[in-house]
Amino acid sequence: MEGQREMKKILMVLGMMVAVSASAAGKLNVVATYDVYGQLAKAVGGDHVEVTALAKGNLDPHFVDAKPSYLVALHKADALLVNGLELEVGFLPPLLQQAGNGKIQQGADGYVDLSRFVAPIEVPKGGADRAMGDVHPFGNPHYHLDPRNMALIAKGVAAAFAKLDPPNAADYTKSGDAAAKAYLDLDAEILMTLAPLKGSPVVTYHSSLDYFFLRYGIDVVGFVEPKPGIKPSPTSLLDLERRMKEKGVRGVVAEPYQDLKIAQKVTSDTGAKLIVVPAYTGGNPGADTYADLMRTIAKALLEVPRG
Amino acid sequence: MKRLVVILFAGAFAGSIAQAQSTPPTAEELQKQIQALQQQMQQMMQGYQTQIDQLKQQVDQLKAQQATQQAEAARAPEAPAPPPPAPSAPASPALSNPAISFIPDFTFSGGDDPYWRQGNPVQVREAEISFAANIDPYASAFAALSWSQADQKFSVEEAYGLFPSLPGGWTMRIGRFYADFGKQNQMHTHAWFQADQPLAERVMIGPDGWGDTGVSLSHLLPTPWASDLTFQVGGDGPQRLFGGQSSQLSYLVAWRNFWDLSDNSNLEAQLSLAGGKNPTGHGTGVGDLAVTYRYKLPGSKSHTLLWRTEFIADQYRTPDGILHSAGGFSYVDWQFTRNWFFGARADYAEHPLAPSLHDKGGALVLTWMPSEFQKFRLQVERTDYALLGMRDAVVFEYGFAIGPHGAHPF
Repeated sequence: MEGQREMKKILMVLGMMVAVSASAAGKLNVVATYDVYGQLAKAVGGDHVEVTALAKGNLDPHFVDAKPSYLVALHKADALLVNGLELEVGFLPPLLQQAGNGKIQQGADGYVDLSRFVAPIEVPKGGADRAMGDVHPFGNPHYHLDPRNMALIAKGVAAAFAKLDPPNAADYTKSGDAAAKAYLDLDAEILMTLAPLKGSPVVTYHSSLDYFFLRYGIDVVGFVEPKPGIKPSPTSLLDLERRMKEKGVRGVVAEPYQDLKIAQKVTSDTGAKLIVVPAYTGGNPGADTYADLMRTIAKALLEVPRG
Repeated sequence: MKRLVVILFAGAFAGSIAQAQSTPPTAEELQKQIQALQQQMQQMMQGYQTQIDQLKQQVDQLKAQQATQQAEAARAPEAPAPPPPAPSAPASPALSNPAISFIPDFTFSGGDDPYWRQGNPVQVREAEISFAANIDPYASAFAALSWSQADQKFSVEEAYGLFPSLPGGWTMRIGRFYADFGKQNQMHTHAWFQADQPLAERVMIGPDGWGDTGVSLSHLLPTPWASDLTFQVGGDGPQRLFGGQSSQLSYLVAWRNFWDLSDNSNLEAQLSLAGGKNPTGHGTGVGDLAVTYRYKLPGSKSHTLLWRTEFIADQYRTPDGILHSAGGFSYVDWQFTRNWFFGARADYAEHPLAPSLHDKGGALVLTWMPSEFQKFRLQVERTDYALLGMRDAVVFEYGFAIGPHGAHPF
């Protein structure tokens, strides 16, 4: 009897919690794992969406901590925009498991994997192995640094929002097209800005900016990391410096969260210039918006000595 | 005739010139002529400006079209990928296979601490094989099997189905899993911050922790901070708490709360209360308060601090009265470079059936992780056992992980 009474109490508490958890209708609640996609979601969704971005751009996107406070946003979300290509593998799965929200689970309409809208580069042929370092088996996940990809994503997100919120579908389509055009205009601008650097050789710390370099014709001849995510050894640095001298590399590009002491050693040994640029928006000076981010990177690269 | 016309025309023209020469224009007429010329000039300028603007617009449009065409041409063969196949579609071998990982843990110990003298000084302390996969669109499964050299047997650490999206925002686990009793209890051996369990876990819960078969229901609470409530009903529970009575059930409620203190730090507090019947037929109640502080150096990915403290209180009823015991531990783990970690732990534990006896001790830990997939650890520890006196141990631990082992819940 005592056990039955306890069970009744538990069921009553559970029932109250179900009632409280019933969500109120309103704007489309959108959560983006990274700020850069949060901004895109706002551009596409306008007043119809409420956007929360989880990770700020001053964090290494590979090492985002699964802050439990993210659960609050995920629990209420109608749509979740993820980068995909395993960039969020270290923090998103446990959050989704505990968010108690079926609308954004993998396979649901609200789970929007943005990598589906682009064609990744650097997909390992013959499969990936950890001996290759912290390589992403489905390709380089930093595709946002090619504005043409962002244009495709804007249209894809507009379609996803339209599916989730049919009454406002026309608005999403219109905004998505406008956002896509803005990304393409920015692409044309950066293309002209960096025309003088076409074919210039650079070295980067990690492969975060490969899409950018590929798009604008800048030749990446090496990485400070001997393999993705692997700390360089004295031997690997010597080899890199030798190649830099052979190819006349005058610039080393790194993100702020990389080990800049190592990058500085490389530049001081070779006479190259160290260019520190953000790779993501949010939390980085001069990179509040996507256009700012792209222009900041382009402007910094123009400081690389030429000739 | 033609000559006549020419002569008349020439005469008229000459006459008009003569008239013009004879009556010079006034200043007013000249001013009007100048104004007329200015108007003509302005109209011409406006016309030219309009043409220039139109040309500029055309150039801009062409540029935009060209950029669009370039982008589309570059991506045309790589148009947005079709949606992934429905879960009911025939699965490829890759989809059929669960993610399998293998995580062995080797220890090399010295000293006179009985905890480390139970088996060979050099041993496979544990080898875990885990499997994870989606069962269907509604649930996923996780299982961890382990083998211990000391026990010479396999055991099922966890094997459960997880339903992450039940109606009303509930999540449910069914199967065998580590109870949500404190934080340390939920951690697998390879994820511990030290080579061994804290004393309070070992003495008050049990050396293997509290893993049980049952049902777990969780729900996020509608609070401004992240907070969730978990209800669990399990089987017999750990022998040291509930006596391993197969006909009894144990009940647990866990309330977790998380606060972001800043962009780089957060605090977690979890209160767990559990109850069941012990072998005397009377009840055992046990509680755990776990507080965890996490900090990350701003702008760094390799300088982190974790500080965790847990208090455990036990109330063991017998026909002769109630036995109260308490214990706890506190440890820090400081990642001071990308690959190096330093840790320290302090322990205290009263024996649940003999609360006047208590053990206490501490440990210092240095861990090197060349990557997130393997670790080398050196630990020195000293423990003052109530029945054995002071004992010391030096432990070297090595472990690695192969296969796609997912991130653990925080």
